[in-house]
Formats: sequence, structure tokens, C-alpha cells
Amino acid sequence: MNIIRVENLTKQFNGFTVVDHINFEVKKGEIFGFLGPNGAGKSTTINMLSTILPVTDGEAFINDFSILSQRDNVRKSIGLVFQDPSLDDRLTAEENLRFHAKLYGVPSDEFQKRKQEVLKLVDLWDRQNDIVKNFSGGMKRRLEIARGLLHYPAVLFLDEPTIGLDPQTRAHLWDYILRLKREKEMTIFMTTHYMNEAEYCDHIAIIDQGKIVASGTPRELKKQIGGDIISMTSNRKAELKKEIEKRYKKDVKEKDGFLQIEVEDGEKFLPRLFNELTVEIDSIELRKPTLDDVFLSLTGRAIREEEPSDKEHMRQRMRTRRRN
Amino acid sequence: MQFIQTIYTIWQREIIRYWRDKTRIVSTFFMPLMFLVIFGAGLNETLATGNFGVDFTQFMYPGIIAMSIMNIAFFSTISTVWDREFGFLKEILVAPVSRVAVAFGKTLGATTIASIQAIILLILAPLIGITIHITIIPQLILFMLLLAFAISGMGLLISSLMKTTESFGMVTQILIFPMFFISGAFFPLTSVPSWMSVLSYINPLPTA
Repeated sequence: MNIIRVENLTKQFNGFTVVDHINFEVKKGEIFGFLGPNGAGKSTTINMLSTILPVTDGEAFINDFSILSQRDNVRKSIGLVFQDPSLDDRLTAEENLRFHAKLYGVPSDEFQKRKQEVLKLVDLWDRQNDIVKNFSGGMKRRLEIARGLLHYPAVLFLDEPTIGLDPQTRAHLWDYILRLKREKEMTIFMTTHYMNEAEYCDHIAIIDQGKIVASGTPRELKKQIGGDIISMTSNRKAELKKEIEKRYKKDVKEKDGFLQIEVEDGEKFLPRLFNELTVEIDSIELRKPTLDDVFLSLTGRAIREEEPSDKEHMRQRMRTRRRN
Repeated sequence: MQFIQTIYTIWQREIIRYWRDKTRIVSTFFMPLMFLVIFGAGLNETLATGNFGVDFTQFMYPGIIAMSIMNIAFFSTISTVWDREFGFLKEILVAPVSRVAVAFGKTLGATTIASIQAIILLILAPLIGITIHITIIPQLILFMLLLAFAISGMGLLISSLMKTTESFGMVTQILIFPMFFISGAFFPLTSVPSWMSVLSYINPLPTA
């Protein structure tokens, strides 16, 4: 039995469709990655699944409870770590956890045991009596994860858990997430727009403009690309593009000022390219496909081409400000 | 049972947050006392020539208490707006608890904070030469609690509609001043224009 089942889930805001009849299932104990650029509908989907946002159409089940008719049971079944911080930073770490435990009806003796367990998992045990205000961005995130685990949810939702964190902290956080999966066999549903992070996931669904455009394991998705990627640049780019299209019947995409083609066997193709092309090439690169390329080939644009939104800028500022 | 526990949890959080914020504690005392000293002393001299039959400070003091209840109760409900801005509200809203219990907890938190300060002001009364009959104290306290609860409820209603602390501050200022001026604490309401006396009936403050 799949722990999350989503059937034709749809959300409209003022007639504008943000999430458009999406379907997917998540197996127990796996890390499911929900990928897409900003504004693709990731957070909206999480908000609907966690019953904060009313659903326009469709249905979903979490732990076999309907998000439409069994809200309280759904809420008990999920732990949430939001994209934006949601801790009370005037309280201590311990108090944040204690209030959470009370709201979720965890008995006090049980709470003492679980508190130790979750705080040790995220390495915050010796900081439990510190005021959250003095925590760094990464520590706050870890505390939020610990809090989300306190009531032993069936599914842990992580909405952009690494956003606004520096690369080192981000790597650490991933250690914790993978430890969770290993030690607790926790089902984790996460959204991200960092494609390299999605490599950690067991299954992935890619969402763009409210629709799921692809799903599968990272390996399957990369296979879809069908080979290696050659990207090159030239000061006569237009001519180069035309020539490649004509000579090799390849689909040429443009990304960050580079021309990109997909080939079966890159190592053998490169020498041919050098010998046969009449237009001069300035630089060339051969690499194996990444999920970034999958996204590019599916939607015709790179996921990271998009500038961080204003909201995201503000969020990053808020994080740094609050750390002081 | 979970209902009561939710109320208690939300309430407790409000109190802890208040207790940690020493500036808030000090300033909420300072303001009504400042009003009392400046208005009381100033107007007492000015009005000494007329014959009122009562000491102006004595006349003002209940008003001062009511005003500080109102200010603090209103101000305390700002925590909901803060929670929204800083994201904690989401944590509460996704919890499997009754929304009614959450609202009750918030209201009771603000009520408690306002009442504690009002009671301290009441204790201070004899020190600045105000005479209060022992017999009316229970009555006074009951009214203080009621007023604090009413204003907190109103504050919570407003704060739940507001998206930012700035707009909350504006709206409460717009509400607080008229409510206070036509409360009868500054001037008696016996000889005011009729529209004002109608308004003063709606106003919960004169009753207190």
C-alpha cells in the first residue's frame, strides 16, 4: 500500500490554475523528491496535502486518510518542515519541542524520551536550553526537523529544506535526512529546486507550470536523455547551430550561451565533430547527463535560469538577520 | 481533554514570551503612571480654582487602569500578527487541534497579562493617595477581568485579519483613542452631544 496517493489534485487561485490535475504515489520508506522551478506549484501541493489549503478538485490520501474528510488524522500522520522558518525564536529549543508535543498530544513521560532521541539525531542535544534566536540558520532547520519528528509522523514533509543555507550546512543537512531514512525508515516527501540534491531521492516527480512532466528514479530519468551531452560555444553560433542541425540531424538547444546536443557515445563523437565541422568552435565540453539536463530537455529551459524571486531574497535576508 | 491542553499550551507560550521581554514589562507600567502624574498634577492645579468636589487624580485613576488594560490587552494580541509574520502561526495551524481552543488560549494569554498589570496598578493606588473602599475591590477586579477579556477578544479579531504589525498598530490606535476619549475618564458623559453618548453606549470602556 502506498503511503501517499494523489489523484487529480488541482488548485486554482482566482481562476488561475497553479496545480493542474497531478497524480503520483509515494511508497513507504522512500525519499520522494518533488522538483521544479520557483512557482511551479510545489509549495501549493504540500500545503494542500497538509490540509492548510483547500483543494479545488481531486483527492489525496496520506497514510490512508483522506485530506478532504479526515483532516485531523492526516495532520497527526505528517510532520512538516516549512520553507520559511516556523519556530518561536524567543523560546528555547526544548520549549519549542515541548509545545509541539502538547499540541500533538504526546504524553509528558513519552516526550522526555523522544526529545532526547530527536535532539541527538540532529546533534542539538547540548543546546536544548538555548534560546532559538541565537541559533544559526542550519541549526534552526535541524531543530525544525527534530520537531517535525516528535510525534512520530508516517510522512515527513520537507519544503525546500536547504534553501538559504550555505553549501556546507546543506551537505550536513543531507547527512541527517539520509540518516533519518536509514535509522527510522521514515517516508520523506521533499521539494527542491536544486537538481543535484534530487540525486539523493529514490523517486522523483518533476513539476512545471502545475503539471507533472516526468517521474521515475533519477537513473531512469537520466536515461531518457539518451546519452552524453556536448556543449560548445563559438563566435559564429548561429552558423554552427545550423551546420550541426543539417549535418547530424541533431536537436540543438541553447543554454547559458552554449549550444547543447545529446549524443549516444560522446567520446567517439567528438573527433568526428572536429574533423567535419567547417564553423570554428571556441570551446567544447563533454559530460554525462544530470537532472538539470533532464529538466532542460523536458521543458526547454534550465531550472536555474530563473532568478531567485524577491520573496526568496527576502527570506535569505531574514535568515541572516535573525541569526544576529 | 486535548481541548483544555491546547488552551493551556497556547496560554503558557504567551506568558513565557511576555516574561522574557523585560522592556515590555517596564514600559507597560511606565505609560499609565506617566499619564497619571502629568495629567493628574497638571490638571489638578488648573482645576483647583473651580469647585469639583473631587480630587482629579482620584477621578482619573479608574480610567488610567482601564486604559492600561485596554492598551496591554490590545498590544498583547499583536503576538498573532507576529506569529504570522515569523511563521509560527503555520506550526499552530497544521497541528491537529481545535481552532477554537487556539483562539481561547490566545485571548486568555492577553487577558492574563493585562489583568496582572491592572492589579499591580490597583495595589499602587494607596501609595499615591487614592482611597479605595475594600468592599468594592472584588467587584473592581471582576470588571477588570471582564474588560481585559473583552478587549483581548477584540484585539485577536483584528490581529487575525491583519497581515502586518504596522497595519495592526494603525488600526488599534484608531480604535483605542476614541474609545478612551468617550469613556468618561477624561470628562463626564452627562452633558455631551447625543451622538457621542450613543457611541459611548457601544463602547465597552465606560461600563468598566
